[in-house]
Amino acid sequence: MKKILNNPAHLVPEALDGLVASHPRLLRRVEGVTGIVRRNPVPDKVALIAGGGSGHEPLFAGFIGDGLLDGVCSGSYFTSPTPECILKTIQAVDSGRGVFYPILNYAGDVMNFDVATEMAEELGIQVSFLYIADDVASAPPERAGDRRGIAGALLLAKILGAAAREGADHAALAEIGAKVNDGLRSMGIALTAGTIPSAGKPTFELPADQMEFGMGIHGEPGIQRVPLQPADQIVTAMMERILADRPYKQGDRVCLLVNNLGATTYSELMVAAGKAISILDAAGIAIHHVEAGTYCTSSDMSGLSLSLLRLDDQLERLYDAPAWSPAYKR
Amino acid sequence: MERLDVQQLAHLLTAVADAICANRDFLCEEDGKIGDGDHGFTMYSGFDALRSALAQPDFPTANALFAAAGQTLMNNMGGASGIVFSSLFSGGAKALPPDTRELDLAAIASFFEAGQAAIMKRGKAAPGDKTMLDALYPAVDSLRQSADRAATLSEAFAAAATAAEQGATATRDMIARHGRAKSLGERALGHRDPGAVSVQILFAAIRDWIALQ
Repeated sequence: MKKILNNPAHLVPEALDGLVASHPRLLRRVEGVTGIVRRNPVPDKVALIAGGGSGHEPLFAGFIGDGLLDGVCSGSYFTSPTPECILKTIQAVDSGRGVFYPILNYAGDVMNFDVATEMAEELGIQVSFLYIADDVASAPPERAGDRRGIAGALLLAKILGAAAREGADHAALAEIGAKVNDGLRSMGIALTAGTIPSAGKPTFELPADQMEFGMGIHGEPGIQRVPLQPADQIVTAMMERILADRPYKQGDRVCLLVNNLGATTYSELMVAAGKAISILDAAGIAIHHVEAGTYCTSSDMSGLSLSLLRLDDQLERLYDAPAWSPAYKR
Repeated sequence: MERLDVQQLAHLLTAVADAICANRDFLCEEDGKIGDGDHGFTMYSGFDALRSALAQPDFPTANALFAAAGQTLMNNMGGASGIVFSSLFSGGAKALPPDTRELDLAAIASFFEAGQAAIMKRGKAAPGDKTMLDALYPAVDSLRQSADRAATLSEAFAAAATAAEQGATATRDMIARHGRAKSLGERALGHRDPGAVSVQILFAAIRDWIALQ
């Protein structure tokens, strides 16, 4: 494994420091923990943070900025942040109206945020949250609450960010977030596994002629291993599963997110996007916007994920609201 | 030696930490089969910090010792394991009578029972879900049975370590209902839960430390 690193054990703090140094007027480190926040808390709004393991890049640390997140707490690679890291990030962003956070639905994230929530409440900070569980491959619809949170988190953060900037209170953010979740479905595929830098080798082995369907973003094996297929077949299989899940229907208006899981090229994303778009067109589903790029990786996995977000007028307006962050702009 | 004072408990915990740290790569390998292969690193981060924390001079009470152990693990691990393993010690510490300065077998059994309850409350898992509880539950049950029979510490932990090992082995045949592997369905069969293996290592380390006293 060749990586551009110094000591792998220091990767996360060094990367955060580099990001802060690149945007010094926007960002600062939270003292003592691996968190970064906007340099000054934004007054008169509920603050938004998010967090989770590092390695799902640039999610979330790259999405701090106007109309997006106010702070991010990052754990070690693929590891949820500690309650202390989360709490200090909460404290650093609170401007008096409390803090709201989407939580990726993983046992570790859920439990660490759970403890941090208790700590924040004990300190008198108003906090509220919701879970992101958009990965259709990770559990059937009847156990949708068990699903993993993956790249759809970007779309949720965008919409919540716009709502919070307009002054939405905790209850409104919860309602809007629930509506996003109701229309948000994702799925991923992998051609090669990613590598956790401190481990030095891929998290699982995929033979050269095989691919994985429905793995998450943590390097765990997926739900099905099949022979490598042409892009059109891969995308068709993914879209079949995603469309059927909500289900999405003719006349729906959606955003499409085509997300690079780390090592996939732009051309590959565009081939996949083209096929996904033609499938949506054939289904009579209107495409409001396509976002394609590297947003939520699994380290350097070759693969991609597709996400659909069903829009109504409110969500479309919030989605279209301008936003700026180092890694995502609208 | 049927009661352990605070200093002995600190040495025992250090032995546990040493064993966990020594098994870092092994635990990563176990985790790679059904997870993302970093369980060993997470455990190492926590338990290495723990042995550093234990190297400092005396904790006044067992309450302080175990509370500090839980806090150290929670602040240095992250992930589900961080909360689960820290809860074992924090939960156990909270249930100790105030100003506890030594533990006998019965008190140790109570300590682990309270820690286990804290884990189950926080993690919402139960035995059979293919988690560390599948090794912990039989070990704790074994300790309580040993205490009821007035067994020696040595006998009790030999039995508990065996129970933990059997519990960890049994996770091979379980489908995960919590944590990383729960979306794998039947692909999780045939592989042990890495958290359960950590629990097996923990109880084996206590057994071995007691045998050396």
